[in-house]
Amino acid sequence: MVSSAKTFYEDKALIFQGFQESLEKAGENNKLYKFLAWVLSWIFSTDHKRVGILYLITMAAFFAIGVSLGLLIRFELFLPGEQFISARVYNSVFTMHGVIMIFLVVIPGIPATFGNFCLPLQLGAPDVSFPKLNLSTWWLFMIGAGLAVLSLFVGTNANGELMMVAPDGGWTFYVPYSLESSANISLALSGAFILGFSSMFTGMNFITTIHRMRAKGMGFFQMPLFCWSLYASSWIQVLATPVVSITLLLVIIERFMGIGIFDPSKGGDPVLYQHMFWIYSHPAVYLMVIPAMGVVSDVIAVFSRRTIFGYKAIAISSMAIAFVGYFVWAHHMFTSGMTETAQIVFSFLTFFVAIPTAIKTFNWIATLYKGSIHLSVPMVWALTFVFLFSIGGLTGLLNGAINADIHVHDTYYVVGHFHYTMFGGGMVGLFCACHYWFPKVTGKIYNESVGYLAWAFFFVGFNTLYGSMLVMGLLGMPRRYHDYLPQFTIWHQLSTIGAVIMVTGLIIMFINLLKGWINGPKANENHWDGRSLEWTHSASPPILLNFDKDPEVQGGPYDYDGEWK
Amino acid sequence: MDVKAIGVSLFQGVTDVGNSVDFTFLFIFIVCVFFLIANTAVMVYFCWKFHHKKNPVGTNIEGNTTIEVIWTVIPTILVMMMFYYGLAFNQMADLPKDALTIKVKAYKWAWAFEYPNKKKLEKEAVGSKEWKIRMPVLKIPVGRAIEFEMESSDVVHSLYIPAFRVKRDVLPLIKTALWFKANKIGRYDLFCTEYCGDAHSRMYTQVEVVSQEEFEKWYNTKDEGQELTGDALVKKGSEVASTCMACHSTDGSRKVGPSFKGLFGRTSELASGSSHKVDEAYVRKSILEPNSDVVKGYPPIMTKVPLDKQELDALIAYLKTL
Ligand code: HEC
Ligand code: HEM
Ligand SMILES: [Cu+2]
Repeated sequence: MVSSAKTFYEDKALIFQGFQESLEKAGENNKLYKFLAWVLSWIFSTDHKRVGILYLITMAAFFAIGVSLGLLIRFELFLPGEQFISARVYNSVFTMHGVIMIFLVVIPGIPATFGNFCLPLQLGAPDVSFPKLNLSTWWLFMIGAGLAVLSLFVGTNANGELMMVAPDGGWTFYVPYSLESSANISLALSGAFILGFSSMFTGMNFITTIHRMRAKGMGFFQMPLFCWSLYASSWIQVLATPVVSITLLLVIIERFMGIGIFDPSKGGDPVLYQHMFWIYSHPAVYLMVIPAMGVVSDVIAVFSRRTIFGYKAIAISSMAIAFVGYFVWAHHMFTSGMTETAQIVFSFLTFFVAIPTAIKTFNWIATLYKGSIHLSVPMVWALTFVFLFSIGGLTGLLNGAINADIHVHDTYYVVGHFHYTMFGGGMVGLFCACHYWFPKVTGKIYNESVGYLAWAFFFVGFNTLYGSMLVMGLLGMPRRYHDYLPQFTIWHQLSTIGAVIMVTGLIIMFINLLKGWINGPKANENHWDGRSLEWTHSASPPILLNFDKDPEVQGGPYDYDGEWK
Repeated sequence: MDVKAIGVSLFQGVTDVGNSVDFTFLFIFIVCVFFLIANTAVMVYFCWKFHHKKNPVGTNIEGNTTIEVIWTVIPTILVMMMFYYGLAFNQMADLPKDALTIKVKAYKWAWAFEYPNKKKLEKEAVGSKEWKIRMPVLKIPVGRAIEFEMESSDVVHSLYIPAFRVKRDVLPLIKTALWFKANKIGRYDLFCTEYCGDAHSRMYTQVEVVSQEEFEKWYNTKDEGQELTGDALVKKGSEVASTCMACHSTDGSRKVGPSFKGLFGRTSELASGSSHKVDEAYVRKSILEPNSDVVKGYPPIMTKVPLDKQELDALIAYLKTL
C-alpha cells in the first residue's frame, strides 16, 4: 500500500477518535467517562481486528445461551414422559436453540471472527476494503440478534394480553405451520432478515479485499488456504443469502396480509416455501464448514512444518463445493412429495459434493506424511476436525441415497448427522482457530495442558452425545419430539450423559482461554513457527494498520525450505 | 436373515422395499466404516511416525498428480454405486393393480384412516407407560400392496412407519401417496415426523399386519352399532377418558388442565372475562372445539381428541358421574 492509501485507512480507523478524546478529556477524573470512551473505541472502531474480536465476544455469549438450551433439551429427554418442561416450552426451546446456533453462531462463524481478524493480515493489507461497511455488519448483526432474542419475550396470548410466547416450529419455519402459529414468528423472521444483510456485506467486503488488496507478489495461488476458503464462502454469502431474505420477507407479508403464496388454503404451495428455504440453507451449510476447512488446512501444514500437499486441489475443491452446493438443495425434500424424477436428479447431484470433500480429507492426511509433526493444542483440534467432519460427511452419504434417506429423514439420525458437520466441523474449526491465532490476537498464550484436558472431555462427550443420536435415528426415533417410546430410553440417556461430559469440556476450554487472555504468559512473536504474513511480518498483537511497511511476498504461504527460521 | 449393525436389525423383511433400504444402508455403512477407520489409522500412524522428535525436519512434497487422480476416481465410483442402490424405492408407477387403497387423513394431532368400503377401525389405547392415547390402529393384510392416499387438514405432517422404511409428507389440500407391501404379521409403530405443534410427539398410532383370512373376515363383517346404556356406557366413557388423563385429574388436583371432579354444575371463569355454567352443551363444545372457551389461568393448549358420536356420549355420561 502506498502511503496515501495508508492515511486513507488511518482516517477510517479513527473515525470516532475525536469524539472519544473529548469524552476522555471531559472526564479526566471520571471513571464512568473513561469507561464510556473505552467502550466507544470498540463498538465504533472500523479496525478489522477490533470488529473481529467484537464478533468473537458476542458470538461466545450467544453460543453459551445456545448450549444451555441444548442441555435443557437433553435433560428433558433423559426419561420418557414430561420431566420439567411442557411440550409447548420444549418446542420453543429447540427452536431457539436452532435459531441461535444457526443464525447467530455458525453462519457468522469463522468469517466474521477470524476472517475479519486474519484476512487482511494474511494478505498483507492494512484493513479490509470497506472498513465502515465492515463495522456496520456488526451493528446489523446486533440489531437482528436483538430482534430474534426479543421475539422470545414478547407476544400476545389468545386473549390479546402481552405474555411470553416464544416462536416454535423449528429453525426451518415450514409453512403453513409458521403462518398459523400464535407465537411471535414475524419478529424472529425480521431478525433473520436483517442478519442476512450483515452476512452479505461481509461477503462483498471479503471478495473485494481478496481481489484488490493482496500484497505485492502474492498471486491467487500464493494466498494461504484460509483466504481461499473465505473467498469461496463469501461467494455463497453474496449469492445465496438474497434468496432466503426474499423468502423470509414473503412469509412476513403472508402472515400480515395473507397474499397466498405459500398458504394452500389461498391457493399457495407449501412445498414452494421448502424449495426457497433450502436453496439458501443448503449452500449455507457449506458456508459453515468451508472456512473451517481453510483454518484446518493452514494449521495442519504449519504443525507438520512442511508445505501443504495438493495446494491447488484444496483451493479448487473449496470453489467446487461452493458451486456444486447450489444444485443439491432438494435432497432435504425427498419425502416432500416432489416428483420422482426430481428426486433422482437431486440425489445424483448430491453425491458430487461428496467428492471434493473426500479429496480435501485425503490431502490433509497426506500433508502429515514426512512432516515434522508438533501435536500442540491447535493441531489436536485440527485432527479432531478431520475425524468428526469425516463422520459428518460419511453419515451424509446415507442421506444422499434416496431410499435410505426416506427412512432416516427427520429422525434423530439427521440431528446426529448435522451436529457432526456443523458442530464437529464448523464449530470445531472455530475452536481450532481460537487456539491457533490466540497468540496473534492477544500476544499471550493459554495453558496447554489444560487445553488438552478440555479437548479430551469434549471429544469423549461429543461422540457419546451425537453417536447415540445416529443410532436411535436409525431405529426410528423422530426428531423434534418432546416425548418418546420406551425403547429409545437407553439411547437418550447415553446422549444426555455425553452432553454433560462435553459441556464440561467446553467450560474448561472457555475458562482456559479467558485466563490466558487476562494473565497468560507472553507468547513468542511467531509462536507456532508459521510462514504466512500474519506470523512473519506483523507483531503479536498487530499494530493499528497491521504492518510497519508494506510486506512483499516471495515464496508461498507454507515455505518450510529451511532458510527462513 | 438377521444382520445387526450398531444395534440396528437389518433385513427383517417386513416389507420388500425395507430390504432394499437395508442393503443400501449396509453398503454405505461398510464403505463409511472402512474409510473412517483407514483414514484415522493412517492419521494416527503418521502422527507417531513423523512426530517432530523422530523427524526433526519435514520434507516438502507439493503434491502428486497420480495420487490425486486415484483418490478422485475411487470415491466417484463408490458414490455412483450408492446413488444407484438408492434408486430402489417404491415408485408410484410400479403400484400393483390389486393394491388396497386407504385414505389417510392427518390432523393436529391424530390419524384417521378410511377403507374403500368405509369399514370402521376400533380405537385402542396406544402409547407408553407414561402416556396413553386412543387412536385407530390401522389393520392391513399381509402380502398385499397397500396404497396410502394422504391429505392433511391443517399443517404439514409426515407419515412414518420405521419398520416398513416408508415415509411421506402429508400436505394440506395437496394429495400425496405412497405404497408398500408388508410381508410379516405383527404390530408396528406409526409416527408423525414433520413438526406440527404441541402434541407432535403424541401423534402416534400403530399398524397391525394380519393374515389375509383374518383381514377378509374382519373387513367383510358389517359394523354392528350396538347401543350402550347405563353402566356399560359409563364404563366405555371411563375408557375413552384415559386419553384425557395426561392433562386432567378426577381427584380435584390441578394438572395441565382443570380437574374433572365436580365438573358438571360448577361455573367456569373464562379467560375472555365472562363465566359459564358447566352444562352438557358447554362440555361438548369444550371437547369438540377445545380452544373456543379457554378457562382462566390455563394455557390454550387442549388437544382436539378425535371422538365419534358414541364415544362422546359415553364420555359425557362418565364425566357426569364424577
Ligand atoms: C393436552 C392436555 C389436555 C388433554 C389431553 C385434554 N385436555 Fe381438557 N383441558 C386442558 C386445558 C389446559 C384446559 C383449560 C383451558 C381450556 O379451557 O382450554 C382444559 C379444559 C377442559 C374442559 C373445560 C373445563 C372447565 O372447567 O371449564 C373440559 C370439559 C375438558 N377439558 C375436557 C377434556 C376431555 C373430555 C378430554 C379427553 C377427551 C380432555 N379434556 C383432554 C388440557 C387438556
Ligand atoms: C451443548 C451442545 C448441544 C446440545 C446438547 C445439543 C442438543 C440438541 C438436541 C437434543 C437437538 C434435537 C432437538 C429435537 O429434535 O427435539 C438439537 C437440535 C439442533 N441443534 Fe443442537 N445441540 C448442541 C449444540 C449445537 C450446536 C453447536 C449447533 C450448531 C452448530 C446446534 C444446532 C442445532 C440445530 C440447528 C438443531 C435443530 C433445531 C430444530 O430442529 O429446529 N446444536 N440440538
Ligand atoms: Cu404431525
